[in-house]
Amino acid sequence: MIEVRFHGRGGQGSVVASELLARAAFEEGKDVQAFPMFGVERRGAPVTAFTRIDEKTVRDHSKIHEPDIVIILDTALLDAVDVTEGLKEDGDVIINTGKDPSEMKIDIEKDADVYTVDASDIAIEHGLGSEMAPIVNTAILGAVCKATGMVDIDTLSDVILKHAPAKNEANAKAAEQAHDEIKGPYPGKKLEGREGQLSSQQTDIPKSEDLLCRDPEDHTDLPRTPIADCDSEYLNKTGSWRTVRPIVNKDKCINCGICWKFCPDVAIFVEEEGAVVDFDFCKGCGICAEECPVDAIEMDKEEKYV
Amino acid sequence: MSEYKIVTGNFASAYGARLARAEVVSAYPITPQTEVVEKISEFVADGDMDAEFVKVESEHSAMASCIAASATGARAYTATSAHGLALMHEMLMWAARARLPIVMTNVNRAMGPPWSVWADHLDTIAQKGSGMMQFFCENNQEVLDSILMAYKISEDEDIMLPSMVVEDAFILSHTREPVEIYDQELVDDFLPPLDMDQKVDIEDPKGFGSLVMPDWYMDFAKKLEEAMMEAKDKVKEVNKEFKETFGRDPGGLIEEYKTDGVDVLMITMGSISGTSKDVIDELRDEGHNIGLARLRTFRPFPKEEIRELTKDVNVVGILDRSYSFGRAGDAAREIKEAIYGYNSPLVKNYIVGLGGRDLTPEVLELIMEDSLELLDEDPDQDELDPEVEWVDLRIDRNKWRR
Repeated sequence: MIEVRFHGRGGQGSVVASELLARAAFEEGKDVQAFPMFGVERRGAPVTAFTRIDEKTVRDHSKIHEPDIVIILDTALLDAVDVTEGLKEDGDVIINTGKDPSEMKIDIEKDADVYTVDASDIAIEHGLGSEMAPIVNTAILGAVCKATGMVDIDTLSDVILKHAPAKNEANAKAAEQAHDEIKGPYPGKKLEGREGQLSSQQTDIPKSEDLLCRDPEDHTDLPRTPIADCDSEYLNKTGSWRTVRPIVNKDKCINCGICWKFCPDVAIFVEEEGAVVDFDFCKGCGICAEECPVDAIEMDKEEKYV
Repeated sequence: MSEYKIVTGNFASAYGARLARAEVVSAYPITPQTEVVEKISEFVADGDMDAEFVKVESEHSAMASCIAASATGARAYTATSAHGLALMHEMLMWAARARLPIVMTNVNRAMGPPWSVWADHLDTIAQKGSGMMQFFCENNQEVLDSILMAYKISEDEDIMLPSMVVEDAFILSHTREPVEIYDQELVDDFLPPLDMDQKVDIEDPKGFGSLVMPDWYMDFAKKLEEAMMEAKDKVKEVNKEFKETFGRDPGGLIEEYKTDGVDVLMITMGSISGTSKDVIDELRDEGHNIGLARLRTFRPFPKEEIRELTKDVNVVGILDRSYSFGRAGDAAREIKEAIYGYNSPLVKNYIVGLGGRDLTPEVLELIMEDSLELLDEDPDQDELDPEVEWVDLRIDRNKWRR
């Protein structure tokens, strides 16, 4: 049995990727299962999806806790999610980035193989998604075929042509190009790891037990029914959902307050020196940039600032 | 031509309703059932399904519409989940007592609060006395298969009762698996159009479901129960016919997995059964004499089959993904009642996976090992301590981890 975990963001196509991979393996005679993390999905929020592939009938309906392969669609997630959690000792990590695997700042204390591929660039080249939000799922799958040999690239191309939700030919070409351009493997243990790689932003997010009882080990402390403080929404830093961020040009800003009026998350304020963004809560929707009457706000890729 | 699609349990439900040629579909969306209705409305809008799609303002109205449609002799379908099913409660009772062969999917989900959208069987189990038949599915193929079979059983003139096909929230509803979408002609041969002898007809007006005095009500109730009892044989018969037609055995009343001559019998329902079978294989490879029975049909309850299965068994471990407050898990309670006076194995009830808590092979193995250890207990003791164990609570998580 091969178990695969995808890390992406809502809108990048992680769930479709898990399905296309399952479909391709099924076409090669395997039994398969594909499922998203069972949560409440939102565009921009971190998304996890899974694929199970086996020669035998897949009967296991538990979640995947120890994947063989981890696929990362968005490097900004490296700071927000423990992407290698539970990864098997000899697993594979495939990352969407323009960098060489040896340059990745990711802490893997395992004999995992690390691969990289610039799936974003390839997706943009083939007109998949926009420059700010490329849809990278098919490209990265092409790289996965090469890295793992799990399924043949020709099978994957066929499946994309038949089953991709849109732009089938461009998607198939992107997969083939990524298959040829993947870099690696590089031994995971040799990567330059960072201590405590989770950013302060993420560690601020309260665990559910912190909201429910003072001592999570003590049931007597559990209230009869869950009761949240009215300010609990401040603890959930939704800024981690952002893939693009607003950059304010203070020279152009006229302090008009239009951005503040339109921001659906009250995440931009007007101060003396101009508009100031609260990156703890800005989800990167871009409405401020759209509404600014003097074009003082531009959206830029989040990964540049991580 | 039959073809394989990689679909979620929700899409399997939608394809089931389409293959069954449901003529009226009325439903209200609720997580995690929503995609069932979305997919069917897409089928209808695209002209791939010849059905009336009735939009309503609540689940109560959804079932009311199905009742009206079914009363005129149309094949009706709906789907819901948890709070939606609870809101439907009055109409479920009506559908059963009006003896209408409606089939519905319930994507079982926990009742709130605490607010939860994840798997839990209590919503379905709470309707066990409604007069609806209940079929719990292990995987997505079985969801589709069960809908086709449910119509055939429900519409039999000796039965005429509504059915509920049950799929676990997210674990089946949002998980994609290969599902064979059968050839329509083959399904049409298996499931001919509904032909009801008594129905609402504007050319021949009559009153249905009218008042009866206390000296009659009970006799109608007994007639419903007789249909339920009759349905046990019908489930087996239709299961056999299904296997002959489509080459697949959904499991009838109760699916037996390596149960011959076992000392310990585990009993499960729904999607945890597949994971459990993998664990049974491992334990048997290690030399343990353990097997598994999957309770597929909860209503009508297969008490004779349970008696037969537990005849020479020393320990029965029953996993319930729901809890009847003030007593125990319902499968365990009913299984104990079924074997009372016949067999006397030690019976232990494990409460598992409420509100979608994950059941890993590791936790299932520890449960089964706990049951195996009971083989050393005094078989004549009155009651086990504990008789009911809540598995993998946060407070004693270490017990359920290796």
